[in-house]
Amino acid sequence: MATELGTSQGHLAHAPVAAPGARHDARSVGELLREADHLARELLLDLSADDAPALLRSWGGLVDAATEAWQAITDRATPPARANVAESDASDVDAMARLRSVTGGITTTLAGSRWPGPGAGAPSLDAIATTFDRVADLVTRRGHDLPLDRPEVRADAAAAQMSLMHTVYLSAHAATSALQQHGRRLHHDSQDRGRPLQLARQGLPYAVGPTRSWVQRLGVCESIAGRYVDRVDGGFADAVPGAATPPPEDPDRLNLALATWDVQVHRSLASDPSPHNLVLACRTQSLVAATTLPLLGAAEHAGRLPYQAGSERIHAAITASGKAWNQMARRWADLAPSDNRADPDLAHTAAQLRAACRELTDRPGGPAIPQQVVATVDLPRAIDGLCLALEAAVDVAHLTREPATDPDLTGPARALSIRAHNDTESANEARSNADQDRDVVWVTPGDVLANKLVPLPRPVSDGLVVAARDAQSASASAASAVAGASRAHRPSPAAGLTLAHRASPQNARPGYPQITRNSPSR
Amino acid sequence: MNDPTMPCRSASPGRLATGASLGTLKPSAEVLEDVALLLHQGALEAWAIADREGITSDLHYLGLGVYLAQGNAVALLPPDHAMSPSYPLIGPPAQTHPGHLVRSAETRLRSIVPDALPGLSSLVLEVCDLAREFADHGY
Repeated sequence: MATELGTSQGHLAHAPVAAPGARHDARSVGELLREADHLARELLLDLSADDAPALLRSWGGLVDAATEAWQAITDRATPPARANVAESDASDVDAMARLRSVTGGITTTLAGSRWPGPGAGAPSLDAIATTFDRVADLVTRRGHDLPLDRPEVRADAAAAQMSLMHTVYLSAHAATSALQQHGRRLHHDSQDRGRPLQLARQGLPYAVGPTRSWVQRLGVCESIAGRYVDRVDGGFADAVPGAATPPPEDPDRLNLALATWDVQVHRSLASDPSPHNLVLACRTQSLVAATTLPLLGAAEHAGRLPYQAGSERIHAAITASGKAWNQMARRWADLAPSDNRADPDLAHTAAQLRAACRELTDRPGGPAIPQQVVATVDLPRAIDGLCLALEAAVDVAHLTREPATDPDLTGPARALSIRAHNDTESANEARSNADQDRDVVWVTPGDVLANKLVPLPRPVSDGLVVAARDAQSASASAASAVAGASRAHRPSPAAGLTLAHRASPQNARPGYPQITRNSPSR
Repeated sequence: MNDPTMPCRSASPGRLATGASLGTLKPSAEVLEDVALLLHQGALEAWAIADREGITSDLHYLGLGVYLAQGNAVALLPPDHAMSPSYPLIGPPAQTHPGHLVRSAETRLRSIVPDALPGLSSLVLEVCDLAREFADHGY
């Protein structure tokens, strides 16, 4: 259904169909805009660093075509196309003009720039531009018949412009993504040649070399388009200098993300230990453990660990903590319905941390090998930050204990029934026949059929408590094991600082400004 | 099959008929509900596989991305929208694989025109990026 092109659905009511015998595109404005949208989505689905030069070359043409189509709609729908004029503001009305202005600068620079140089454009963006040209032509030739005195017609025009800007937004993101991947490849290649390119100290870390300014400028375009389509997070534009600048004392992405996560997860679990927040907290804590392992492995491979003895114990402890977090996450997921979500702030910081971890351990086509990690990652800084995070995880594990003991917990009947059955079976395997729970119906069939919210069956509530306890224990073991993997100058974890007393800067641990730790009892 | 989110074949004059206007949120909500369910299941499936593979499995962080996208899809639903009770998908592995579920969510999102919901564009972008990530990792 997504591409009902060539039908008369949604056609411009007063636009005549093609004259008999004429080669004419009979699609409506709506159908053309939908095609442009789909072209942009297809581009996003299949994007690589190799696309960066062509996308950059075609960007100006796309914006020119979008501007023409936009203006054609505006000219037809006077007063302004925005349905609710009272709520429009100057930035919305001028969004396309601003976009065109920025793109004009890009095009001018591109003409005299050595990179990417002359060459082929991107067929995808060119096709979108052609589609926009058709929109402009159709609206210009036939739009004069529109009864613009009708509010619904003006609203329709506003919707057309929204659709237009949406496609521009997706296209801008595609271009910045490809440029980012290109910069990343440049950086890795330069590392391999022994002539490393300096990473950007602010904003996107892989905006390197000749791609740096292009990423920034395309990021501005993405931001303009994104704000118009009402996006809260401007995507890459957020990383443009001035929009979200890391503090000078901790410029690297990972440590900032870890510190921000630590603050937010404490805040969110203290105020709202909902199942969704707990699932997100557990899975993200596991990600921290999972990210630490390959970095420690790479450091050991390169002989850069300050210790050699006990590395297997450390590896086992971190693996066990990650596994414990995942087991607890699975249990909380039983209680987390699909119609709800985690705290948006927690989700945002988790997304930032996820992206930061991925940058360290991921390469196009799969995980990075140790040599690649050694060549491209500031291992001491990254390991230090991750080890701090593993120590902080002990605090987080404590925060999961109390919600696990909440007697008022409820969850969907179907998931709880399955979990209770599985837990009972597992428990029975460890018991004698006399002590086994047999033929216990933990959740009624009627409740299962309706998938009602029901109180937790005993095996499930017991399982949650055990999982929280296991996560506490495993986190403490991992924290203890990694203490030797951090820098020698770090203060001892047993600093006697309590979580209840929030930071003053002089109590802050290196690398984590204004974060304190509850020292685990070991 | 008629898709309620498609622009109606209007007999009334004077429509650019670009797509569903803001007055047709209900059909968009139904599509978003489908998307949220697909992403929810995709996250659970990704993590189920990842838990079997071990903590360094790529599907852990891929699943985390899907889970975050599911939350963003839910956030776009009308406050008074009541989702249907969801059940785990049952089917052959190819259809319940998280990569397939994410791609299904992306396809499903195409049936909502971009003007129908503020904030939809960011979700489209997020799901497209996820689908590409899964493909990059061979899923």
